[in-house]
Amino acid sequence: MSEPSVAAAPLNPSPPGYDDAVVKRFLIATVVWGIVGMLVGVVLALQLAWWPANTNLPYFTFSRLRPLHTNAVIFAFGGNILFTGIYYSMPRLLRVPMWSKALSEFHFWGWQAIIVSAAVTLPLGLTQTHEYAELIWPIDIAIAVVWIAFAINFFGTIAVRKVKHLYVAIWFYMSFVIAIPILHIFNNLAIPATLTRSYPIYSGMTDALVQWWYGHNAVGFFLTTPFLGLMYYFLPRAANRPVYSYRLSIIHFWALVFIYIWAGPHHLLYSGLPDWVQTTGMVFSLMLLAPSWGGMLNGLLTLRGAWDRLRSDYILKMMVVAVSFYGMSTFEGPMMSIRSVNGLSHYTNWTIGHVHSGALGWVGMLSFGILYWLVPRLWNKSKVYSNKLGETHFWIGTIGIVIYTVAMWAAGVTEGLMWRAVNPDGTLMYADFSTIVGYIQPFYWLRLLGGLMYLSGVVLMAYNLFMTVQQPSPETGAAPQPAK
Amino acid sequence: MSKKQLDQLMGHGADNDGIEEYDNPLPDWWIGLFIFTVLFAVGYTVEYHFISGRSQDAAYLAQLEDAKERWPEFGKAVGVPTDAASIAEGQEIYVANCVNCHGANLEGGIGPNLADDEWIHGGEPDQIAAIVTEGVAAKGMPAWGGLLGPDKVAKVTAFVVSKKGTQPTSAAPTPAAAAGASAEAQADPVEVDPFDPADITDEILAAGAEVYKTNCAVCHLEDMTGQVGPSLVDGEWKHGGELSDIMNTVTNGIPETAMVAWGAVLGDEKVRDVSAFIYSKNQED
Repeated sequence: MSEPSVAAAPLNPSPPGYDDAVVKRFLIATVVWGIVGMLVGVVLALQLAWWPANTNLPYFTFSRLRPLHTNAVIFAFGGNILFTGIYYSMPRLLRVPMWSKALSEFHFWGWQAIIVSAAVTLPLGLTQTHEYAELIWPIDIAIAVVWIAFAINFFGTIAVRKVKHLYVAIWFYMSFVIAIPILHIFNNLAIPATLTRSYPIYSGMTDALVQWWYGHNAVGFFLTTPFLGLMYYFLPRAANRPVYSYRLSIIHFWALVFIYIWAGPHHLLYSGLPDWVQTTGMVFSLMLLAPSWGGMLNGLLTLRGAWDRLRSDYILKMMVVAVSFYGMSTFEGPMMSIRSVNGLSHYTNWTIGHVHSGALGWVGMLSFGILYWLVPRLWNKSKVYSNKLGETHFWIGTIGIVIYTVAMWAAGVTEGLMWRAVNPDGTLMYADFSTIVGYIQPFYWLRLLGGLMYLSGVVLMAYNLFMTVQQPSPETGAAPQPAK
Repeated sequence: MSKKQLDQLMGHGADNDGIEEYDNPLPDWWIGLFIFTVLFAVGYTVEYHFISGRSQDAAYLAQLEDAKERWPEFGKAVGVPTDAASIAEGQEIYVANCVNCHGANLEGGIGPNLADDEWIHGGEPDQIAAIVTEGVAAKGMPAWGGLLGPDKVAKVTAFVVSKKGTQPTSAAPTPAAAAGASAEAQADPVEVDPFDPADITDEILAAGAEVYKTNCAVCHLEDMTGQVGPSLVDGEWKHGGELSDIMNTVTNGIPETAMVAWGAVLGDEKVRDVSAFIYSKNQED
C-alpha cells in the first residue's frame, strides 16, 4: 500500500503477439516532439517580452514560429501521446493484437513525416493562414491518408476483438478517430493553385465559421475526448481502483460528443456572424459544463480509497492535477463564451491563459503521468529510474502552470479593461496601443518564467525516462503476467 | 444517492484489461447542474431573440446613444473659441504636437503652411478642427481626435485660426507640393553629388545626428524604427540602401508621400550629413 505503483515488479504485462514496438516508437516521438514544441513556445514567450528575440531572419519571427509551436504541441506531442496510449491500451482492452501491423507502421512513419514537413514549411512561411490548420494542401492530403489508414486499423481491431463489452475508453477513442478526419477534410477543402498555395472554397464569414467549427473541435475531439479515453484507461490502472460510475461515463460521453460539435461559434462572438449562430455557440458552450465535469468527477472519485497514495506517488499526483485543471478550464471556457464576458476577454491574453491551463495542466500533466507509468512497463524495468526527479518534475511543472496562467489572466483583464477605459471627456484613456503593451510586459516576463519551469520539468522527465530504459531488466523467468 | 446501494461492481473487469467499474448513480447535483444549463440555454435564447429582440447591432446603437448622451459634443464640430486664454492654451498644444511638421511659425515643413491663404481641406474653423480630429492618413497627418480630445482640438484650432495670414510665403517651396497641392508642382529630381562612404568623419556623423533629430525623428522616430515613415534600420530599402541612394531620397523626397524633398530645406551639406548618419547606423549591425 505504501508502495507507489511504479515500484511494483515485474511490470511488463505484454502478452505475446502484441506490437509494443510501435507503442515505444510513438512514446519516444512524444517526448522528442514535446521538448521541441515547448521549446518553441518558450522562444515565443521571450519574443513577446523582448522583441529583439525575433531576430532579423524571417524564419524565426513570431508570426512563423507561433503556428510551428501550436502544431508541434497539439499534433506532434499531443498526437503521439494519444497514439502511444491507444496502441498500448487497444489490444489489452480488446484482447487481440492490432488488426494490421503494417498499418500501425505506416501510421507511425506517416505521422512523423507530416510533422517534419510542418516543421520545414511553417518557418518558410508556407501557410494556409487558418489557425491550427496552417499546413498547406499537399500535407493536408497526407494527413487524411494517414488518418484513414489509422481508422481502418482501429476499426479492424474492434471488429476482430475477443471481448463483448467495449470499455468506455474505446468509445472516447472512437469519437476521436471519426471526428478528426471529418473536421480536417471539411475545413481544408481548397482549390490548389500551385504546389504550395491554394484557395479555400469558403469565403468570408462562412470560412470563419467553418474554421472555428474545426478549431474548437480540434480542442474538443483532439485534446479532450481521446485524452479522456486515456484517463479512463490509465488512471484506474495507475490507481488500481474501479472506475467510480459506469453510468456517468456513458452519459457524459454522449452528452459531451453531442454538445461539443456546436460550440465553435463562441470564437466569433461580436462578429459578422448572424446573432442566432452566435447564440447557438454560446448556449451550447454553457451546456458543456456538466458533461465536462462528468469526466472530472469520474476521474477524481475513482481515486476514493487511494487518496493516501497521493503523498508518495507522483504519477497519481500528475493525473489528479491534470483532472483538476480539466475541471477548472472546462468551467472557465463556458464562462468566457458568455457574450458580455467574451466582450472583455476576447483578443486578450486571458484566452492564452485559458488555453494553456487546459494544454499544460490537462493534456500535459496527464501525458507525463502516462509516460512515467508506461516506460518501465514497456521496457520491462522494475521501476522508474528516479522517483525524486519525478517528484521534482511534478512540482516545477505545477508551479510553472500556475505562474503562467495567473500572469496571463492578469495581463488579459488588464488590457481588456484598458482598451475600453475612457477619460471624463469621452476620449480613450489609452489611445496609443503600445502604452498598454508596456503595462502588460511584466506579465510577459512572468509567463516566460512559468513556461521555462514547465519545460525544465519535461527535460528532467526525458532524462529520467532515458535512464529508466538504461536500467538492467529484472529476470523474467515466469510467463508475463498482468500488472495487477 | 440512496436510491441504490453504492459500489456495486458491474463485472466488466475481465473484459476491460482488469479495470472494474462501479454501477454508481449520477450525483444529484451533477444532474441538477446539467438540467440548469439546458434550461438556461433555452431561456436565454428565447429571451434574447424572441422576447427582448436583442441583437449586437441594437447593442451597438444603444451604446452610441448612451455615449452621445454622456458626451454630447464629442465628434461634432466644436465651437472654436476666440478668447485669448484658449488661444494661449492652443499655442502650447501646438508647440507640443504640431510644430515638428508645420513649423514654429506655422510656415509649414513636412506638413503644409497653416498661415497662408491656401487651405487644401477648407479654411473654416470647423473644417480645420475636423482635419485635426480625423487626420489625413494618406499624407501622414495623424488623427489627433482620440489623443487630444475635443477640447484640446478646439483650442489648437483656435490658435491656428488666430494666425491666419501671418505667413503668406512658405518657409520651404517644396513642402506645399508634397502636401498634395498638385503632383506636377513636384520639382524635377536634383542630381546629387556623389560622396564616398569612406570619407565619413565623426564630425559629419555628429552633425548628421543633430539634423536627424530635428527633422527626421518626428516621422521615423529617434531610434529610427519608423512610425509615420518606414523604419531606417530594418535592412529593407524601398529606394536603395547605398549612401548615394539615401542622399538621393533625402534630397528629392518620395512623391505622393509625406517624405518631402529635403534638399531645398536642408541644403547639400546637411543632406550629406544626415544621409551619412543614417547610412552608418546601418553598417553598425
